[in-house]
Formats: sequence, C-alpha cells, structure tokens
Amino acid sequence: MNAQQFQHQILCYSDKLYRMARSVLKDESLSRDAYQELMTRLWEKRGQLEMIENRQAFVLASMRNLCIDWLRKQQPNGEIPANATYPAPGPHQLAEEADTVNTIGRMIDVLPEMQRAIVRMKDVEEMEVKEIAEIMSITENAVTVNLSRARKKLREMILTHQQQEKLLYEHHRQHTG
Amino acid sequence: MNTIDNILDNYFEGTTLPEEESRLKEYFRGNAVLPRHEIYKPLFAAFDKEKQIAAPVFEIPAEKNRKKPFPIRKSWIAAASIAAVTLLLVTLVPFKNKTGTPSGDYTVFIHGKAITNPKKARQYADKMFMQADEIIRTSYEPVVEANAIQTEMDPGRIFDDLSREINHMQSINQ
Amino acid sequence: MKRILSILFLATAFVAGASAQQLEKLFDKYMEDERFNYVYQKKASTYDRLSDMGGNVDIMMFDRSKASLGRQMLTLNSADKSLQESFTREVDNALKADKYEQVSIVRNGKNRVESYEKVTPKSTAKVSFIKNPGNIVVTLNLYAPKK
Repeated sequence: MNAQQFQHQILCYSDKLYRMARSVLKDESLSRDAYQELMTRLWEKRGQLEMIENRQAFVLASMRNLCIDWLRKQQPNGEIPANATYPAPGPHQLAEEADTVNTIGRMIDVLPEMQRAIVRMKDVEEMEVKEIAEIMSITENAVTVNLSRARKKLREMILTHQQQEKLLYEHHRQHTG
Repeated sequence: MNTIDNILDNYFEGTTLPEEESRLKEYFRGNAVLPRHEIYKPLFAAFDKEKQIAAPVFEIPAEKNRKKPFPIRKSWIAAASIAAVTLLLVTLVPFKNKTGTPSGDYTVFIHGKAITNPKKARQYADKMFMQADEIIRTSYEPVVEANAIQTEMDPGRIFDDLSREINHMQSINQ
Repeated sequence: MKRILSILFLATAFVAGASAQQLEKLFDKYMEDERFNYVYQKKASTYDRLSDMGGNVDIMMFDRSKASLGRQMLTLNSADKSLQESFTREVDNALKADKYEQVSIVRNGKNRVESYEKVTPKSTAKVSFIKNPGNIVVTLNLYAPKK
C-alpha cells in the first residue's frame, strides 16, 4: 500500500477516527495525540491493512481500544474513570449556555463510555447496528439496548434542563415583576 | 403508521430503521417542528454539529519515524508521577507494571538473568507460551507424546537455539 | 533488587490489605530466582498484534470480549525433588488462598495438568499448572471481565 492508497483507503476515515477519540477521551489535545498515534501505527502496518475486509470497523475499533487502554493506564486500579452525574445547571450556567447544542454535547459526555460511543456512532456517524456491534465486540441486541438507554437518558437530562430553565424564569419574573 | 410521534417513540426504544431516523432528522432540521417536539430540536442539531468536527492533518512520514507512544505532556507527567507512586504501593492490583527489563511488552528472566534484547525476549516468551499450550493440549493424548514435549521444554536450550537463529538472521540482513 | 521487591510486597500487603494476590506474589518471589525461568507478556493490543502477524493472517483481533490483560509464566526445571515439592505446595496453597476454582485435572502417569479459574468483576483469571516431574510450569492468564 503506497501513500496514495493509504490516503484513499485509510485517511478517508480520519474524521470518524478523530471523533471517536474525542468521545472516549473527552479532551481535545489528548484526542489529537491519540489520532496521530493511531495513524502513525496504521501507516507502519499498512501492508497488513490490505488483508482486512472491513477497514472502517477495524480502524474505529483500534482507535477506541487505544483510547480505552490509555484511560485504564491512568487509573491506579486499571478501571476506566467513572462518569460524573450531570449536575442540574444553576442559573449562572443557564444564562451562559445560550448555545443549547453545546449543552447536549456535555450531556452525551456524561453517559457511560459504551453508551456514548454507541449513540454517537448511530446518530452522528449514522452507522448500522451490525457494524457498531462488530466494532464494540458486542451483540446487535446489546447495541440496541444501550442505544435505547443512552437516548432515554439524554431525553431525561433534556427535560430536567428545561424544568430548571422554567423555574429560573418564574423566579426571575416574580422578583422583577 | 409512522407519524413523527410514532417514530420518536421507536427512536427512544432504539428500534427505528435507518430510513425512519433519516426522516426524523430531516423533520428537525426544517421549520415545521411542532411545539411539543421543539424540545428535541437541539438534540438533533447537536448530532449535525458534531458531524462537522474534522480531524487534524496527518502527514504521511517520508521515512521511518519511530515515535514514542503518546508524547509526554505536562498533564501526563503529573498523572504519571502520581501513578508511579501509587504503583509502588499498590503494585499488584490487579496486574502490575513490571519494570524488570526495558523490553517494553515482555519481561523475561532465564535463571535469574534478565533478557534485555526486546526481540529475543518476545520470541522466547512466545515460544514458551506456545510450548506450555502444547503440553496442555497434548496432556489429553497418550503418555508417549507428552514425554516427548516435556523433554523439548528445556528453557536454556530453547533460548540458545533462538539466539542462534536471530543472530544468524541478523548477520544475513547486514 | 530482591530486597526492594520484598519491601514492595510488604508495602503492598499493608496498603492493599488482605488482597487475594498470593499467586501473583509467588511469581514475584521467584521471577529472578536463578533456579526458575520467568516470562511475562503485557497486555497485547490490537495494533501490537498486527506486528506479530508475519505468516498468520488472522487480523480481526479486536475482540474485546476475550481481551487478554497479560500473562505470565514461571517454570521450574529441576531434578531437585524437594524443591519441586515445596514449590508445588506453595502454588497449591496460593491457589487455595486466592480462591481459584479448579476446572480440570488431566493425569497421564506421572504427568499432571491442572487448570483453575477465577472470575471477578475486574477480570477473569485462568491458571494452568503443569506438574510434570522435572518440569513444573505455572501460567497465569488474565482476561478482561466478561460483559
């Protein structure tokens, strides 16, 4: 595989790979490093990549695994760090977060890593359940279950957020009458 | 019946078909979103927005470039030093980082002596594991075969054989 | 080096409390002992395995459900019967203390292969214990927890 082939056959997945790193690591600069690291290794092994049937699945799984491995190493007990619960936004935050789209991004980041990866692969990358199952090494049923959980959790967070906004609005209205 | 409400219900159950999800997204991108659905508009807008995130540029190396895994960054140095201290104290939970030899992924001691050549370490370790697997596999077979393998499993001899092989290959490549 | 290791053990035992790590302590105890041979393979990740491909062409190896977290092996090749016996006893005791479950025993005359398993939320550990006269091998394989 020469440089041009690499460009066409592997670099075409760049954006998805980078977004996968961002999803797992939740950190921009770490993701950039992870991305460079993976691409370097893929370039080094480019000869063997030709033998892989489903390259998209393979490179995405590799990226995810690389990031998860790194996260595990950062923890003394080898666990992936637990996610914080989504804090109900205070008035200050609500006032600042005019960009509700960013809020959604934060909500997704609060989900457990598996749900996060699955909902992004389905809703952002628009991949098929079958392929997601392959990448995550889980059954298609497990994908569906986790997808449902993720989406319902997001709905719950969105509703909570909206309620907080309403309360704040009411409070503000009463006190500025 | 696939009204938006139906599709939305299925969406949260995770059972929507790809075509239905496309339709849902188109609906939320448009201007005809019903008031009761407004609340979901940012959700789908966020998906669209995330899809626009692009990767940094990767320069295909001109020649061999041995990069260290995950170049050291300030935040990592702090994390690494904390981890190192923690490692000293909590070494065995659940599988410690052996620092016996600098061979990276493999640590090999033959009669107390560390094998520092990474390639030799790796080949030796792989062979040892394979031999052990072979013993286990053939333990189900007649005694004769098991004995034959047992005598082959002489670590010193395996290592010497491998060393000779590797040295031979290296001298050819030079 | 041995002294440092023993201090580490003490520190670990102190900090980790009553941890179920007797078997792993055995590995540490003998790994640099000149009567033994020791190999340890860190967790191999997908791309590392790619470099091992060479002739084998089984590349779809990102199977996380069976992901190996590393393995180590301690080998005693010695004619010294009392050493063989005492080591075997140490391993047996460690397996018991760590609460490994015996999965199978295969006996062939004087040769014997036992396998053990321990499943915890953090990992699945598989041990094979080869008790052949003159050749005693203990292998500990760690796998990612079953989903």
